Amino acid sequence: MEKTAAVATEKKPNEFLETVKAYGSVIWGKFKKHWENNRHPEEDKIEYKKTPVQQVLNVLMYISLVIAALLVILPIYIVFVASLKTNQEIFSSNALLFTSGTWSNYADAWNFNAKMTSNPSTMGTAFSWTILISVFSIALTIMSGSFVAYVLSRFSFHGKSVLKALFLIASIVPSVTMQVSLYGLMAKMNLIDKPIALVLLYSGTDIISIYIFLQFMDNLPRDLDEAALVDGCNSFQVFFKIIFPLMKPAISTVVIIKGIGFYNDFYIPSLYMKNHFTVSTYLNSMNQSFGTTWGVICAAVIIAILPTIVIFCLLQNQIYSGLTSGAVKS
Amino acid sequence: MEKTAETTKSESPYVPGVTKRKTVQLGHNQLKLEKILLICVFLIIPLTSLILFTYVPLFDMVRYSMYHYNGYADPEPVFVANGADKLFKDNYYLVFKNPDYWKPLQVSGVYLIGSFVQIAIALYFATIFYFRPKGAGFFKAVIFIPSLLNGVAISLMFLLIFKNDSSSQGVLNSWIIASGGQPVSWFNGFWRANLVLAFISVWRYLGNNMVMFAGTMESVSKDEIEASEIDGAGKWQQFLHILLPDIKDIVFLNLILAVNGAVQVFEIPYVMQPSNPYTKTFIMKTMEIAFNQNQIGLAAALGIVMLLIVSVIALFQKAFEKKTGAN
Repeated sequence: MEKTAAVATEKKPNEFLETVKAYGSVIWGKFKKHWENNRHPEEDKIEYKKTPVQQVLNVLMYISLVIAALLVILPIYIVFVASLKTNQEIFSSNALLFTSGTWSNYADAWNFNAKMTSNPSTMGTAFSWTILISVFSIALTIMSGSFVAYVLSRFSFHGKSVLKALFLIASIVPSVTMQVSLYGLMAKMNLIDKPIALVLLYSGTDIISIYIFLQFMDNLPRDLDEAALVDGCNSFQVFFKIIFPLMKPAISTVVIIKGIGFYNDFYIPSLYMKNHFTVSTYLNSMNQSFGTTWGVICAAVIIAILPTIVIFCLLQNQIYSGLTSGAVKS
Repeated sequence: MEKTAETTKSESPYVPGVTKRKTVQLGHNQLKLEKILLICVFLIIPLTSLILFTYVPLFDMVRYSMYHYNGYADPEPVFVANGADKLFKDNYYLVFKNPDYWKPLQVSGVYLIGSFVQIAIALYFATIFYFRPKGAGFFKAVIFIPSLLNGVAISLMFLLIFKNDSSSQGVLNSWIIASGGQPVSWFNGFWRANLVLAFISVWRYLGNNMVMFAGTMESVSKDEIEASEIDGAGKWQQFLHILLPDIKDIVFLNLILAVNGAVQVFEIPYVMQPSNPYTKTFIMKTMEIAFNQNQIGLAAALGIVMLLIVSVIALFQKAFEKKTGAN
């Protein structure tokens, strides 16, 4: 990051713009190729001849699509443009046009807290905490979610319906208001301002992943279990050697849905981890600190949303299908 | 052997307490022990955290809501010791009597309007993408992307756009000034402020609904559409008679769940307008009472009110799912 900033500032304005354009066209080319590769075969079907009315409707449809796309892209674009401006330029020049351009906002955003407050955390620290907490939470979520799903899907025992009801009711309870009493409980357990609190809360209150696993496991043929049992596996081995390895699609769905959810969460870290920043609370702290310049805030916003956009471009189809399967019960 | 397995499988659900499937193969006691061991080992962590992080706080919240409990440092209210005379009298009475506490639900109303508009637009775009026009993949991706972005980042993004400080005007106001108008104070006044915030919410979640609807529409047979096309049906007729009947369940479900979303709005107004009286949502109010004013009993009562609203919605949802036979 530092290196890029140094190189960029040495260049003249025009060259800088050229570089942005050049990089832009390369990235655009890659995305375009990606989208073309992901085209549905149906897209190439034969077109029926259209009547004039249909043609007009077709044009109107495209206009609506373009307006929607512009409404989405414009705010992101404006923030990107602003992230390359000084504070004065942001409020005096046209929001849509690049000016001379400086990457120094990005360096400032990255080191914001180290500069502005006594808190030594940089955005790098915030990313590390977010990733660390997400990884542990996801691992625990997958573990307990698949365990519960295995028990519910493959065994019958006394109190099973009670257990199911307990999880069902828990999925209804709104976790946002629950914090009123949960906070007292966490304080009693001495877990406030400890990163482990977030891991416990994220993995301990998750019901959606149980449903995703349960749905998937109900579709796995029971003959597999039977065969393994006949071959002398015990029930533990059936799960770890047969079932769990087969659950990769469900696991990747949970990783994607939960990963994005944990990365974006603001509420839980703002309550339970005030001494360390996650990406969300880092951004919020910038907004609340007096005298933060908007160029720096915009740079931080771009840094925060960039990983999500890149991951979406790479995993587009998995994300779409994961969302649809996760939405069945939520 | 094969046959036994087959028949027990087809005999639908596992009857509690019956383990005849396995007794065929191994010693009954050994299997039973193994089963009990596995259930215990597998359930201990999930069940502990379920009870600890959901049911204990739920119980606590009911308990707190009945008493004066001012600050987590205070001794906790106990069910019996305080006597039942305070029960419901103070906290719940206050919640309903003082408009300060239930007024934020009106804010939810604006978001609810927003989500209905959002569902309509999502339905429109999902239908368009069903017919796979050129560039569908690109437009779908672009419209979807906001629902993945960080909520705080989105809030800051729109703060720059809707900003209205005397010294520095946001993007929208500077455009208005440039074209000769007066700057608008976007967050002043109940309707204006909340409509702006509801718009941001629609901007954020529209793609989510759209992808969900589009995913459900995928299952509609293409043959049926093509047949109707040959018969001369227009897109609108196809939507009304072929697509809509197939996805009306999920649309209705989303309309019900929109109420849940509307009463639980928190993040964007909290980051953008932390102290604006017009845009205070129910959650913001509850949190303020609990964590800034330390009136935990009162906040718990508000939490229970929220829980009741959400439970009613859940009952509707379950009844609806039962009726339509969805899982």
